[in-house]
Amino acid sequence: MEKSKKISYCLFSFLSGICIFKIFGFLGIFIFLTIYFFWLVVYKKEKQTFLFAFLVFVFGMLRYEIAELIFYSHEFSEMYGKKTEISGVVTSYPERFINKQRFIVSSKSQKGKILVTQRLYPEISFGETVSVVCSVKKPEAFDSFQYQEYLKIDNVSSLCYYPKLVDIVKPENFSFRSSVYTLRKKVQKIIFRSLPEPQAGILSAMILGNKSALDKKTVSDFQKSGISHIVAISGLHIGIIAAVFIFLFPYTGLGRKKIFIFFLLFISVYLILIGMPSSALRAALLSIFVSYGYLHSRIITPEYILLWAAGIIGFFSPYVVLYDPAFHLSFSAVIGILFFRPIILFFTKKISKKFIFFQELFAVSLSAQITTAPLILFYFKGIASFSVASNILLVPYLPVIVGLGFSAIFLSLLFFKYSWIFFIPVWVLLEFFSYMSNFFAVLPFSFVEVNSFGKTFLILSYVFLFFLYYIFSRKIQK
Amino acid sequence: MKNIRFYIIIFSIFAIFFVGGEYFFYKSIFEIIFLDVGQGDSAVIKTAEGKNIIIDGGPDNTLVYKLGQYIRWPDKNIDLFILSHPDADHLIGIIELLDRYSFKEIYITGINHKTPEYKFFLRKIQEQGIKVSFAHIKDEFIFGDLRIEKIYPKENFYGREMSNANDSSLVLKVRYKNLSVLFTGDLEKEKQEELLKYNIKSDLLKFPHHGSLDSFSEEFLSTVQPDEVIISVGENFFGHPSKKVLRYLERNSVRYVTTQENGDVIFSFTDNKIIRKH
Repeated sequence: MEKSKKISYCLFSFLSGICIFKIFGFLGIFIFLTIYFFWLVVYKKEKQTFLFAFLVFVFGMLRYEIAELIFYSHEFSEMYGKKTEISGVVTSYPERFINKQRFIVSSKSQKGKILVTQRLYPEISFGETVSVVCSVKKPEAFDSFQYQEYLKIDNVSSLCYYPKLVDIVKPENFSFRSSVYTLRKKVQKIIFRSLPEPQAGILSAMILGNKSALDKKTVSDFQKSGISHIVAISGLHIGIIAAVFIFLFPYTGLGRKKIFIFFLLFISVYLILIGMPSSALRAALLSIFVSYGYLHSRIITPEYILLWAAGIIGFFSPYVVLYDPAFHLSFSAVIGILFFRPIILFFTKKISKKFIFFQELFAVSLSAQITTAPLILFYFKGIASFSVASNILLVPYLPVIVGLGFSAIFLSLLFFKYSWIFFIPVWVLLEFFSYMSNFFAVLPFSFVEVNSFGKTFLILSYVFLFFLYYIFSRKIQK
Repeated sequence: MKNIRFYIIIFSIFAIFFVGGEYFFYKSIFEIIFLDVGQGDSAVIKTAEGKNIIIDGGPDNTLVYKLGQYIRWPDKNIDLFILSHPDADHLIGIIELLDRYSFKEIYITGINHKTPEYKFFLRKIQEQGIKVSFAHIKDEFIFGDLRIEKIYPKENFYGREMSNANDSSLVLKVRYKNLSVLFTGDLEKEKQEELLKYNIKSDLLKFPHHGSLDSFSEEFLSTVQPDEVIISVGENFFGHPSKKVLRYLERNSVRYVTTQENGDVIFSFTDNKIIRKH
């Protein structure tokens, strides 16, 4: 067996360890042994790989258990329901919604994290030390959404609604993340000052991942037209940055090594700038592997890279792998593109070469829709009927908007007074974007609600998709 | 690659025509828009000469999202902002707007109000160096055919601590040619009666305090004699607008419209006629 294949099995075992232990506890070990027994029957000579995979599987289980131990040791359980003063540092970028702001406070005394929802003013900033008095609440599930699990992604164990603000102290010491946050605020200001709403909100979400800046109507239109992913910073956005470094930077005369280091630096700052959402982390890891391979003339298979990315994220935060819908959607979309795109291209090969661009766009769009559809139904209880059409029409604009947006921001940093002039092309495209998303959203049956799509349907759907892939890929091979 | 270029060029041309066409046929007229900002007040006055005036900011950032529809980009100038009184449901939306638009002048009473929102607002306008006019110093603003006249308060509220900020509400008569609109903030019944001696007769009335019973005075309404009443209201626990108020208006055949039911209420003005567009 090839070395890369062996590593893939181990990475898969590690991720399985996290997931299986979450569902079955220690019974998971027996499940693993049963599955791998059959595997051993197929690959008789791979006893060593089997043993190593088993150890990695147990390590995955341990990693989950350690995360749980740390999380529950920092819980505020003794404070639930009581009015308490909590003092700590704001460790998340505050999200500013239409009528409230929300931020995470890392408590000094309890060493845990609490999510605070507060009125819009006074405005809270990242890195500030705040003291609040509130009745601490335990997060609970609602409408079948496991909110308490979702909050674990950020290690948040408690909630605090509209507290009395006792004190706010600005950070005294310089920190790299604080200065990146200042840059983020500056970029935000440029966007808000230069564009009207809803365009400002859309661009801010596309470039800074600031989804709280979107108004209700835009969010609803995007969801109904199936293009919500364009405001979640993921593969498309990071891919654009990677493409600039891979294809344009060699013209500057810089060596491959230097380009790669610049790329690493840029992508790291950008990830901090956008608050490191899991979908962007996944995309960044993928793009780093791909860029490394490309700039060093090495071919690395995408499936292998995808497993590495998931393994790294899982190692640092098992909760992201288990509970983050953005991570699940982002991964399932990439899996769809990797496995179903070739099948769709095969079945549409009779289309004239003149339309190859549309054929490719259709294949990518449809394949991502196929594998994300069960998750969308599970998380959002409905699906956009025209998502393939809206994606084909609108997604090609995304790189153009992001590219023009970055250029306009950069020029505005130099000439702030005339910033609106640099934003004219972006505004035209975003105006068109909002119009078209509204057009798709108001079509009859644009969003079909399916309220009874639970975990069983989710698992069955993916089993069905696996068989579908198996049948079609065999057909293609023949 | 050729296909991509062709696709992008065709759609970009389409997008430019689509957006540009809308601009080409746009004609500026005098309009007053009472915005549906939920349980609060906010109105935009747009003159035919392109001046933008905002009266109150509403209870949250809804104003920020609504304004893009009425003030056409790249116009990002607010010629005058009037804060009737510093309660949160009249103030909050404007604070965010200070970062997004250029304000030429702000008109306030200057009462001493200690909420974090109001303190933040004052600090921000000071930081940005925006001109502030106080009600006890300035009585009138003129923008071409538009005249904004302060009716109340006649006394100096600057620096005064008020037990009820509603009583400090600016009452403004907005005149356009032969037509007029009365803006009343959240002024309550007792204070309304002080206004009866002035010329407050108006074609449109922004009903005080979201249609509250505390602000319902039959004398006041019969002196104003409005053709139509606008009640700026949203979902609330206070019973606004009061059923008694609505019954009175119906009984006296005064047309009324609430922002909660109608959404944004838009009036356009000709020389001697007010037309409700929405």
